[in-house]
Amino acid sequence: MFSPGEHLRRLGWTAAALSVSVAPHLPRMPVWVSLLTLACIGWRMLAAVRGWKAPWQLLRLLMAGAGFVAIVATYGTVNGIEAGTALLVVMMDMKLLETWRRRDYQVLMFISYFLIMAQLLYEPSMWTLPFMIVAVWLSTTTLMQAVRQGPPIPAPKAARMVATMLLLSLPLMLVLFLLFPRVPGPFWAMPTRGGGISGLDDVMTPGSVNALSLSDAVAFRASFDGPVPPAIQRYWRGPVLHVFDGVSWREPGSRPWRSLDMPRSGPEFRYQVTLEPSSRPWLLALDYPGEWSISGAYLSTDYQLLSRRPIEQLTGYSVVSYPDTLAGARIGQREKAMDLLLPDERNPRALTLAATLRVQHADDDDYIQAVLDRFTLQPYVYTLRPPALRGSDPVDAFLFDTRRGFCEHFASAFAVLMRAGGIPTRVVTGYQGGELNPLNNRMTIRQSDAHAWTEVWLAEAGWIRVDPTAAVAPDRIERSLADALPDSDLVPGRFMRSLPLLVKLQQRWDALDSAWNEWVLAYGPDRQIALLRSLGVDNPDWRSLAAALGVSVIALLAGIAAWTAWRYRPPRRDQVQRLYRRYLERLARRGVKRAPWEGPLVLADRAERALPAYAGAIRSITRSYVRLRYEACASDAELVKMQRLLRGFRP
Amino acid sequence: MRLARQALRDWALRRQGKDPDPVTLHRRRIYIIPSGLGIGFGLVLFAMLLASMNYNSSMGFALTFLLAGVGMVAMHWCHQNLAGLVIRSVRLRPAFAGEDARLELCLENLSRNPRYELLITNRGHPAPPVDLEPGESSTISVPVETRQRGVLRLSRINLATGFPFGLFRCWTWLHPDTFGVVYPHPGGPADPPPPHNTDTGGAQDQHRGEEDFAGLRNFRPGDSPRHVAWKAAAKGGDLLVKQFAGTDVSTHWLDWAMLDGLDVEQRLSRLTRWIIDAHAHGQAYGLRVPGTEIPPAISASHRHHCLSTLALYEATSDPVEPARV
Repeated sequence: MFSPGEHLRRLGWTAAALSVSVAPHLPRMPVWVSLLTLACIGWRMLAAVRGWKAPWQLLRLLMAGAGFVAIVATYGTVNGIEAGTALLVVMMDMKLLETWRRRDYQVLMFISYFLIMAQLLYEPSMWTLPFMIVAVWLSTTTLMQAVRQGPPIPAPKAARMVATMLLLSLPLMLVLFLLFPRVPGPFWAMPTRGGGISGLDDVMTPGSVNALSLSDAVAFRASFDGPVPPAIQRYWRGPVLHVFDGVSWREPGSRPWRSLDMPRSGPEFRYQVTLEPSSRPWLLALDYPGEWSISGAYLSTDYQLLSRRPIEQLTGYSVVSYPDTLAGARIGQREKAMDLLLPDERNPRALTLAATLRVQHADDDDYIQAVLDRFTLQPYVYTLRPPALRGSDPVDAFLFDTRRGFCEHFASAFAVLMRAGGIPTRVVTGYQGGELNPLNNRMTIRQSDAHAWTEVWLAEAGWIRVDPTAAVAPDRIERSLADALPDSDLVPGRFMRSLPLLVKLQQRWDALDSAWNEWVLAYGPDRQIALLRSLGVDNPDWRSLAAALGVSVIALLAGIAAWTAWRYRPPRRDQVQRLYRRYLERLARRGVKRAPWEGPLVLADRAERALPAYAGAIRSITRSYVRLRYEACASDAELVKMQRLLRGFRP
Repeated sequence: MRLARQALRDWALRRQGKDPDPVTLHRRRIYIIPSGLGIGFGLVLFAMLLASMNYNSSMGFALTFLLAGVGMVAMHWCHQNLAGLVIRSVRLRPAFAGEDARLELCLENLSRNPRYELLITNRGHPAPPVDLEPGESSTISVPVETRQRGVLRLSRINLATGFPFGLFRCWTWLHPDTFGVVYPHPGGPADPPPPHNTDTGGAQDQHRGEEDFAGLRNFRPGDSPRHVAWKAAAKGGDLLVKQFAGTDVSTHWLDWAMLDGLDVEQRLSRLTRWIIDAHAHGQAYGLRVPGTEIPPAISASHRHHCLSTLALYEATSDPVEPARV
């Protein structure tokens, strides 16, 4: 169908486009997928050079079947992004082996588009934008070359042409992105990606690992409208743990989750959160969320803001929190009983200590203070590398033997002592703190800010937050983790933070990243409505969104049509020709129209006969024109003369 | 479906009228619809939109919308690839009945940008696609099937393009106001030659003959290829024709009346064969058919005149076109 050289050029384009689209996927996939891809691209190029034919169909079918089985064996499924992409890559390899006709090349480019899509779904960070543009550029140029019946267009020309088209389509993309009504998914269940680094979990087992693996990764960002809460109020609420088995704290198995109606009172904080995906339904918010903008979210009986689905993509929402609200003024007997429950015959020394202290301090407030005093007055050390707590009584081991630990150890021990003293207590996990970036006044909360604290229930006062870690290491709460730890402890980012220039750079990058997150990744229905409102639309809904979209797309398309027509306009004539044309127009107005075969002299003869009054002018103009056109060295004076003659020529 | 397509074409003809020559394609006579590949592309985009919604992925939306934008830009580009194109010199080369006549036309790109993949199709016969740089023009030739002598009229020529991505098919119908002539089918070479008594010996030319070589002169259209000095031409340089001095130029009258006993078409065929042969041998010949007499001469235009006379002899009715294929 094509000559071998053309075929090779077409294949070169195809191989380049596919390599770019598939490259970011390969490191995540089993090695054999990369090897297979390399082998198939190589074989296909070699086949083009040597003039080989496609392998037998049976062999290709067998290989495709084997690839499918291998994917299922590796991932256990073909559903979900990772397994689906691996399958797509294997199918692409198989398609390469039988790509001989134009239609095959076109199918390959459609596969390439899907591969780009998979990468964007998998990892929507900022660098994927240039990746997307380059990959789409290459694939689209290849598509252009693949559909051509003639030989491929020279590479620089083709690439420039497609670049122009991409530039033209950018405004369309922007308008569609901003205004296309977003329907919230998902429509079908997706296997969760799992993994990921999270400082939060719904099980807390103090002492199970002897070092907290900390990550500098961003958990979420918040930007405040109005005042920023002081450091000691920056408690971002996550899962609330009630059930203690002597070693671990857990969420209660089944509880009636119902939306709570919060009494709102006192000062309020308004802020927007951009939450990184966690595969968990937890929406982080300051105590206690009163209003929120995310549809389908609800407040649990523990005042935790929850989404109906796991957070798989960067999500933006705004919240109003009321920190001074009286929470849980009255609680049920069952709840009270659950938060007093301790396993029998576990941690006996802690129980004894509680009993002793309770005898000395009958008042609840006094008792709480006595326990906190014990943490501050006795040599307890806040460290991220505490010794492991072995045995079945880890709380005893921590309280009386090791005396070294971090927030989990202190929260757990404190809660046990409170429950033993008859005060309903629960452990709250979440994030504490946050770093304010002076460049964009936005707070960044990292996984290393994960924290655990407790809440005690007192009659009349309701649930009161008590953070035993604050008693031991007040710097942890008021400043940051790095400030609260001895220098020997490794803290992520500590070295970075000691260099002012790096800190500046890091803040700048962080500001950029958070702007990207907020305006691109977390852009959704709420922001669309806000955009319309800021454009002056009253009560915007999806109908006004669709109308705005329609109007802007039509306007843009008209602009594109006008631009392409302008690009294809005829070239500007030279001056002599323009002058002569004017002369012809004036003759035509008097009924002397030039026939297509008439030269200037023949026309002049005819015109002189038809318009004898202008014979002189016609002759002079024609003579000027003929000189300018056909004489070896026509002078500028002649051009000036012709211009003058034409000015006076008004038959 | 076929009827609807025909009605659409007739509507286009009524709307546009016959084309002048040259004709510049106006935007309003260019039609565009998505191709099969374009519909496939639309399905790909729809799948991507669903995936983006399902994963609630902003970057997914961005890619989907970028590709949608590229598709829309491609639609305008495709349309503009034809708009403003000039088609000139549309003509049908004469042919003998049963052979393919050649439709020739010239595409001219007077704009500042190249145009690609211009595809001329006449009655299902496509010509190879052409690309035109700015200011470039190209002559395209498409075979046209003939079956019957007479006038050959063109109904409509399709000029289409799929550039840049083949996602859209953009086309226009050309209705050139031109016709061609289909000569009668010549009899076989084995047919009897004209009887010797047709040689009247008249119209002799003192300066042309085949007896004695008298020198070379430049080739002029109409010269018999037998007289071209091919050896000289093979060395390069101009095409030269050998001239002979002599008096033995036979002049034939090819007469309808000599072919008694044959029917009309057979007579026409025989006369056609004789004309071809006489011209090829550089002989002068005249033609007599009922109602027409063409005096003897030697030239390509004379040959065309004679053959056209035969082609149009009692031409039944025009247009004489093969049935739609």
